[in-house]
Amino acid sequence: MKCRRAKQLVFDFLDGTLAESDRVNLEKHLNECSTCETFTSQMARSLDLVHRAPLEAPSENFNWNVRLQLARERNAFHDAIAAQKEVFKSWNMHFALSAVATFALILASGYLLWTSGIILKPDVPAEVTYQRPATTIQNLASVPNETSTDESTTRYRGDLPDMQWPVSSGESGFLGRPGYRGAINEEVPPLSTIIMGPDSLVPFIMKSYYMQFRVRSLQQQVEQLQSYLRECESGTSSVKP
Amino acid sequence: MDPDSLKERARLRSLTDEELMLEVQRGSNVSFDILVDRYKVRLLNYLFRLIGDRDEAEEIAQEAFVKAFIHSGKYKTIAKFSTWLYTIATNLVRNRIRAKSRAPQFLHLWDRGKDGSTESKPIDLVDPGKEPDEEINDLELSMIINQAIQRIPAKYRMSFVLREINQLSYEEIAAVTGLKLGTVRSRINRARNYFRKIVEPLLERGIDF
Repeated sequence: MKCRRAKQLVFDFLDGTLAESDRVNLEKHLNECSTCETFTSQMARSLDLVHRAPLEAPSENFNWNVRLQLARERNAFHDAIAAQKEVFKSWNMHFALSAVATFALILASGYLLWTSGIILKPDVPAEVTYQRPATTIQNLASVPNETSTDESTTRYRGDLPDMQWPVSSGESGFLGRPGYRGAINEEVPPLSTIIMGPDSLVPFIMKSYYMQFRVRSLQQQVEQLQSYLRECESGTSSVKP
Repeated sequence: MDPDSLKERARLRSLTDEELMLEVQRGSNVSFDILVDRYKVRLLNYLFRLIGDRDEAEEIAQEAFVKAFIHSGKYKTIAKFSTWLYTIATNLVRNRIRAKSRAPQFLHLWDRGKDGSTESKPIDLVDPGKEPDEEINDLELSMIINQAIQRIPAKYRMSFVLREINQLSYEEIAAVTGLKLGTVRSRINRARNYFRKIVEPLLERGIDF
């Protein structure tokens, strides 16, 4: 047996895992080789020394310290959760705000593109103008009663006489409606024109408000006239025409 | 303490580590206390012999228990509790060594020998000052062993301490260190050789340990 192999077996012997046949061979070698014999005795003694190492006792408040640290960890965990919630809350707020801002930006840019004629070029001849028929007493008077059975001529109370969208000139009109003659490479008008110009939203809203008011007042007039006519027919009117 | 909780404590004490961990997973803090009681000495001594600083060892041992409790939900009964706990502690030690190696070191300059290494030199720092055949006390013995173990190269020290101080099996050491069984075996044998060479002068002097 070689010394190298013998030293390997010594470790197995110290571990208590040496096979019986190997043990006999090892003993034989140790009897013959003084180096290996010394090695074995030294190894056994040094390992015996380390096995006899006195055990260190933990401090008395070991368990208490563990519990304290656990409590600290738990608090830190709860703090972290709370902080996370706060962040989430503010993040939600930021998200909502940025969503609103983005929406407004998209709306504004879309509107700018639309009015400047970059994305839509309406194919409407500019010459088309609409004439508003004259609203006369005769026209109104020809409106029959609800009781009329003639379908083709039936007009109901509250119906307006034929009216067209008021178009003042070829230059006006909102969102490319009649009157617009823009080109794709048309110069973008200044911001003041975009906001307050004839094509912009502000006059449009004002116009639509005005129209509503106008329509309502006309309706009222028509109603008054109709009732007056009915009274005249039945001869109950106190007012002479 | 009322008799019921005493009875419950006695019942828990009769359980195995793995059963106690299941109780911990169900929310029993008492079970964890019992586990701490069972393992604190072993864990402290492993860490003390491994790093050589008692206070730091106790600190890491406590941290390991805290980590074990926090991650008790991840513990699976297929692994032995002791192996799992030693693995946690070993990883903590590794992290500390890594953090220390990154930090600038000054004190080592005084420790270094001519070749710049402090390891595997014959022991000479602590001379018990005893005559041959004179007995030395536990504290002195502990100090000698500690110094000798600290001189074993760090690479081999962990397996050696787990084997010789904590008497873990080779398979358990392989599980704790994440090494192959053959590697564990060879590292332990190398460490034993280093240890033998380190303590040889003392043994030669015939001091009765």
